[in-house]
Amino acid sequence: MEFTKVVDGNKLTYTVSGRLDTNTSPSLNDDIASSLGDVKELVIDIKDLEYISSAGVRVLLSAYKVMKKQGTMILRNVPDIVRNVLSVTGLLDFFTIE
Amino acid sequence: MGLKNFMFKLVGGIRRRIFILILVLMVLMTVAFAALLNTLKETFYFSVSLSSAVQSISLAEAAGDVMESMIQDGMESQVMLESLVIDDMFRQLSGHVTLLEDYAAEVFAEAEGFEGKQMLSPDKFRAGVLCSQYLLASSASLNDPMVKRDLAVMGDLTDFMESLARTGWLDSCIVSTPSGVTVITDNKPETKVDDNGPISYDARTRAWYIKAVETGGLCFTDVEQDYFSDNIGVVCACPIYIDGQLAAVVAADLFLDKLYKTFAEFEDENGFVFVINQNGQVIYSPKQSGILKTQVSENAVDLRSPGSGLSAFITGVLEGHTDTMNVDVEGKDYYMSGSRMPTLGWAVITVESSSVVHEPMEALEKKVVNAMMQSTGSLETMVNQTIRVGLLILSAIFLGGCVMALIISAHITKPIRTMTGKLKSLKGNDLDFVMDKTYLTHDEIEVLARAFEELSQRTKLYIQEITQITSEKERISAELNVATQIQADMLPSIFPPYPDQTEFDLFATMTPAKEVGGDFYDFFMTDENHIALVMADVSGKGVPAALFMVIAKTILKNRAMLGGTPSEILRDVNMQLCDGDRSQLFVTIWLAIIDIRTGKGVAANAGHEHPALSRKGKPFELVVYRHSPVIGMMDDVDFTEHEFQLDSGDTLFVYTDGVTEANDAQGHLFGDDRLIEALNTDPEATPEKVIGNVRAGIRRFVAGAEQFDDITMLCFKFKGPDRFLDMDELEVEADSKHLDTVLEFIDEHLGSVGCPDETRTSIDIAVEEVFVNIAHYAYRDMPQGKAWIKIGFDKDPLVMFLRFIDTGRPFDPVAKPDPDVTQNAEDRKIGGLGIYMVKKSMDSMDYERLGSRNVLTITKRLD
Repeated sequence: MEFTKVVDGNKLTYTVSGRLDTNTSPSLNDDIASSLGDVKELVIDIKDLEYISSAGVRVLLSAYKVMKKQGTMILRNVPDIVRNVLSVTGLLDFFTIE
Repeated sequence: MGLKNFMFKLVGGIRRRIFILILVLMVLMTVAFAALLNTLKETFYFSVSLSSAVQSISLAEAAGDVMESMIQDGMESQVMLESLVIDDMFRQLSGHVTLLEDYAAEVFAEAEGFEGKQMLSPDKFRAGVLCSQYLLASSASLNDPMVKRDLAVMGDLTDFMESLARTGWLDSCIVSTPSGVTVITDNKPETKVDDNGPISYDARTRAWYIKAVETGGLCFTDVEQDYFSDNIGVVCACPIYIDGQLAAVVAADLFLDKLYKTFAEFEDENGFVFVINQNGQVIYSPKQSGILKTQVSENAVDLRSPGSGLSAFITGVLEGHTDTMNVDVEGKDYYMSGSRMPTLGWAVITVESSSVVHEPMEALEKKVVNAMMQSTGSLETMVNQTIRVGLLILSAIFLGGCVMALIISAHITKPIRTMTGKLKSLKGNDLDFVMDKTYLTHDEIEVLARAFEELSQRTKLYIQEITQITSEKERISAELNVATQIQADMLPSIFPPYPDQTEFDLFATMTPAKEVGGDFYDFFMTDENHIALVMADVSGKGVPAALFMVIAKTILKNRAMLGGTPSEILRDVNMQLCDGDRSQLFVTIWLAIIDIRTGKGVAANAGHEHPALSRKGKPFELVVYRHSPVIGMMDDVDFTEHEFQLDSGDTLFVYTDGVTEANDAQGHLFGDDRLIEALNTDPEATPEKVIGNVRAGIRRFVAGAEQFDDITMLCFKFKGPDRFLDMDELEVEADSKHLDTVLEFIDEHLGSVGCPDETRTSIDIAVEEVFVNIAHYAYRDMPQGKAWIKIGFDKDPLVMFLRFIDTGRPFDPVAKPDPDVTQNAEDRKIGGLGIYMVKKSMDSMDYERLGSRNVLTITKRLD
């Protein structure tokens, strides 16, 4: 898994690619957690995300919970596989998808 | 308390006893001595005071006596002196009268020749002058020639008479004639004169004149009052006869006042003098009253008379006795001593009140007694002091004695104490008691010391021997322990033995009676699909049985691994064992070989216990059939075998006779019935639990009695083959770091059957969730374990079968409740998603706890 992030004022954009599994999720999770600070808008672009397990879902959920309090969160370019997973877990409707 | 401890430490044990003994002796001696001293003191006092009393009394008495006699002597001397003095006066008086008589006689004889000297008549104006005066009787007159002649004659006498009077021995001189003429010579002429001139005086009427005439010689009158004065006196008279005719009477007068003065000198408060005449009448006495008062009368009391109380004394005195007598006069106690005056026949008696004697006597007595008391007093003080000093010395001796006692007791007990100390200090293995010169006391202590020495030597030897023996034993024991360990290691004890083999569940135990036993079980896969089960019991116990057991087990396994039926195997094993076995040991063996794919088994029983079998849902029953002979007895033996079929859920139980022959304290055996009963506590239980139930049953039954035989059990529960036969298996450590390996394994197989990508991804996710779950939870609080992942496919339709096996703690993910997916995202719990995802994405998810394994089976149709 690889990710890049772009800070634009209080807008933070992550671009995540590869696999978000139990081994790769923690690093992303930590990074997001420490970067949310005074972010008002979080964008996660997962165009190139091939795989997401419950560990990955948890990352998104954690970020969502934080951003709900301080701003907005957007998932961009959600691949089908991710969409399926989010749908199965009933979380799809909570995320703003672009 | 501390002092007591200290004292005990200081002087304890035997030493204390000796010390106390000596102390008691000393105390007794001291007490006895003190008592003796005291008694002596008391006796001494008593006798001293007694003797001093006696002494003082006798001394006082003696002194009193001496004093008394001294006083008496004194009195007697005194009175004698007094009487002499007085008597002398009277003698002088009588002497003078005699002189006068002589001279007067001469004169009267020469009457004619004398011219009459002119005589003077008494003249009051010549008072105090010694002179001669003449007095006439009233009947006489100067005209009488007789008178004139007498006067003239007597005129010649006056010079002589005056010279006599001047001697002082008499108070007056008198010459009287029968004619009635009296010439008196004294110094009191005034007494013979009254207003009318010279008084008349008739001597012829006077007592002295009469007495002289009566007596015819010298005589004394009694005490009488002077005619001319108040004086009391005594007259000494003597008649003069001329030619037989009375010519005159001469007399001299002695007033007793001198006497009285003299007497008065003798008088004091204690004593006085009185004079008695020859008739025992008191003629002088200072007493004015009482029996001793002066009585100048004819009625005077004669003290010689009995009524006076002095009769004896007075009589004696008048007889001339001079002894002092103790008399009682009118209640007073007196000493009286008298002395007779020979001249008059009177007596002078000197009187001393006895107090004179007694007072000094008593004073002396007192003094003596005081002196005595003082001396006894100072004696007492001295004695007391001596006693005090003595007590002090005693105390010092006592203290010294205590010290001595301590020293002696220490000395006597030194050998024992040394010995005791030495013995006490012998710790642990230091048993060296060596003879010391302190012990050479030539008595029981020496004997004891020698005995100890010998004892310690012998004990050391024994200890050496025992140490040797013990270390020998320990060596053997250690080796036996190692042997036990080796033996234990020989029996497969890891359960589940083949975790990934879910066709069966298996458990076995062997509890030896002694450290090394002869029972054994065994199980091993003879090949991929067959498992051999062994239950065996070597005859005997201990090391021989254990050694035989090792041989038998090894030979059996080796032979079985070569293949063949149980009958063949046992025959060959028997041959081999009989071959090398000279020790007459044998072994019973039950051997079964089961095809784990089908459940079909073949078993042979060489003299072993009947197995027990429980069909699914049914209770255990013994499977009874004819046994073959034991192994190791005879070499050429055939062993029969029989086939059986196990279905899924059937449980087989084999054991040794240690189970059925376990006995309680009364010797009752556990027996088959109780075994079946214990097995049927829960026939459907896992093999481990089934064995546990039997063990519990045995334990309850045996109730603490000693275990005589090895107790060995094996339980085999047949599950049945996997759903399909060709499954590939991956064994990994249950750690999420191996996730990629797992997914690779999965993907490879999925790829080989042409699984679509999406499905593959879903499956991957599901695999991840399950594997991660196992990795995180299965071995929590346990050592790191493994996980087995099996994958297989059914064709037509193409269905994937996934099986996850782990040997961790029971965890049924299927039973986990689904998370509430209708909850808000904010409220959603983070966990629980994974399994839910698996459930949702896979066709089926089944969990089974197989023995000690978690078995999770997942299926998904791939086309």
